[in-house]
Amino acid sequence: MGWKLVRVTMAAGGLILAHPSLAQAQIDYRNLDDDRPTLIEDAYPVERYAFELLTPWRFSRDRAGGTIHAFVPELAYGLLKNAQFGLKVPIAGASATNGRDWGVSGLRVFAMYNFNTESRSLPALSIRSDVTLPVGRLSGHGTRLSLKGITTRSWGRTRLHLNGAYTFGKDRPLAAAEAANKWWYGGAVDHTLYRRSVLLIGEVYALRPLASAPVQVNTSVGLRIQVTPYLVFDAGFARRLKRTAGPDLELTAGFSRAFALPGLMPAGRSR
Amino acid sequence: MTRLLAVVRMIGGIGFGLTLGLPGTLGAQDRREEQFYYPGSFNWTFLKRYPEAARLFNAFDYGHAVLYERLLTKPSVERDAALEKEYQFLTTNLLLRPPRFAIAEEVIEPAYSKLAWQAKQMFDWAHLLHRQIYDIYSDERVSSRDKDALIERVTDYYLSRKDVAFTEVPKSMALMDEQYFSQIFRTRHPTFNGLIWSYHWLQVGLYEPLILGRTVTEKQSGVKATLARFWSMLEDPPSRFPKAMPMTATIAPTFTAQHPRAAVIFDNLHMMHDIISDVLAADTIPKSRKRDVIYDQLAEFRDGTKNVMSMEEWKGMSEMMGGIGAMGGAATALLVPVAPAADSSREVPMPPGMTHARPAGDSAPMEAMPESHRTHTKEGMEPMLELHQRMLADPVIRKRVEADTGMRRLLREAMLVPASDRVAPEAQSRPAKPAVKAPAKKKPAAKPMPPMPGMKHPAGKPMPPMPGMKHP
Repeated sequence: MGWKLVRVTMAAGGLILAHPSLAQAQIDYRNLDDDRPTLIEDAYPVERYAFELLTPWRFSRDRAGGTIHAFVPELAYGLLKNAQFGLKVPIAGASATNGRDWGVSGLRVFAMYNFNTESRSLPALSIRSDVTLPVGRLSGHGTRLSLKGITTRSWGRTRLHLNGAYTFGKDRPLAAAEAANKWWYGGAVDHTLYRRSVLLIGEVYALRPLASAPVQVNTSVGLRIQVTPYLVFDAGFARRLKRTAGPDLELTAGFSRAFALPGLMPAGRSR
Repeated sequence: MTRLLAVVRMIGGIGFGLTLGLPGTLGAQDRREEQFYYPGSFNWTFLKRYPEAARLFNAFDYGHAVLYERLLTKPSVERDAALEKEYQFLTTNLLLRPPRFAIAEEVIEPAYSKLAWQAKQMFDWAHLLHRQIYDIYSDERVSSRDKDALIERVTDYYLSRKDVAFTEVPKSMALMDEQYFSQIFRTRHPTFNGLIWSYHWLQVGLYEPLILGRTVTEKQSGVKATLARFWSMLEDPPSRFPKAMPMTATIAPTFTAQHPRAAVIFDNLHMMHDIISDVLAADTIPKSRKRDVIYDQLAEFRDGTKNVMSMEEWKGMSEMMGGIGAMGGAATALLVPVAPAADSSREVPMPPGMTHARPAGDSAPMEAMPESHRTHTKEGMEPMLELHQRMLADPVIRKRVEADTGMRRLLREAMLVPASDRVAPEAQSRPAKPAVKAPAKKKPAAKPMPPMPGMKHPAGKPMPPMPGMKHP
């Protein structure tokens, strides 16, 4: 069931990524999405009326040798000015004694609102809320609500992003992938190679999956590359900085594409 | 636990701040308010079919961005050197190897973006319209009639954002030329200003070969010829740069006739580019007031009810501004041999309407072009151009061409020059001497020149006041 589910998901994503009849769109390689490839994101949502489809893969290996493959298709939409709404459907395959256990790893619905673009006096500020629903075999237990604050400040080609998030609710088993951690905070720095349309990113973050779990301090590096005017490729690598907790290794890669549907666009004023 | 409390305090602090403390501050901030462009399969066709032109526009974006950043951040005494450095980088590096994709302008103009986000937003939105119209014209799957309808639709979409769209009503040129800060930039930095005007010339001029070409091959040849004219402007700066802001109705008359709203929008956009350069360059406007002045000007250019002129007045602006020659020459006209530097009109002020005998962009040294363009041109236009140039360089042949109306007509048709832009063979073939010198030598013309736009003013006649602007 597992690989079949993954293949179907990937095929659907591939169709949307490659379908010529869909509106072609440019994705800004500087639009740093959460988990693409770093945990930390920038403070700017997708453009109004834009859809953004992401089809990433992530591999993670913990200290005990357990591994997880995760495919996390995501669709975000710029429904309102300066706001985006989105949906993630993570599909995970966790190593088990009898092979690999595949299943949907919860359903995540989120909204993000940006208060301002960066000015001389203030960084860009955004707030984001995620609701994680217990859907699927590997989704853990309980519905969770998370709140996140996001800031972005730039100095020419270099930007600094700070994220901090907290999840409300009691400790319950978490989803195998895309879990709503109890809290986390961190900072990322990115650097733009504007002639090559490449973004290089590095981050450090502290994370506590559950109130009863040890704190992890992890680091990751990655890049985002504009492949075509409407397609971005990203890849990243993460590792724990503390000996006692965190992933031995995390690898991720994915494509993202923005598009719009003519039927959802404002018609424009008539002549 | 300590960390948890710290996180809770941080998030709570942000929330509290947003709720109680920041709204006033945030209210004064610019909103990002980005909006997706009109979707359709035509998007990005221009980049695919004409990469040598589309990529140049990415370099143009850099040029605009770095200009504003330097004007804003460099004190007056350092601006000359800073702009000279950027000019060298642009003309010897970036324009020759332009980026494949759009430049992230915030990276190039961080201080300016933070100062005047709304201006950046308005420019981006108008540049998007520019690009989409190129895409539509480049898409051979779309019929001519559908192209026209689609261009009107994307123009409607552009105008639907009243908060960032330039009005489709022609604004008075006095807004660009007669305000207390006007013309400072072009006076102090004529070379960089000429480069910007050459950008604007190409941005509107490229529509013509895409419209006039009857086949893909003709369009490709036409685009290459127009690009060659652009490269020729960069030779011997600033002598071959446009001497006046290229007006869309003059440089792209066919496009203007088909899509006057878009043409007006682009002229308003290009005027605003110049205005912001002047505001940033003006020492009389303190840095603390530049944002307010820029935002006032932006509001003015969104308003189609005041300081406007009629479409007829707008189309007639070419005459007042020196004609097509002063604006860089016709986008699709013939290229002729380079004039000796001694004949450059740099030191010779060109009176309005007297520039056609030496069209500013009518010399096309192929050495000025990057290798890629030269290679393309050899396959398409260059042999023909070279043939014409060699033939017309011969005085006997030139005389025969001038005397034979049929040959003149064939020559014009071969070069796909629109009727309104046609230049007599004698003018094309004549070594580029300053027009004002010709009468002094009393050199008799073999044939009278056909009437051309911008040549109707009798010499010495005072220019009428600019329409649309009330003068005290």
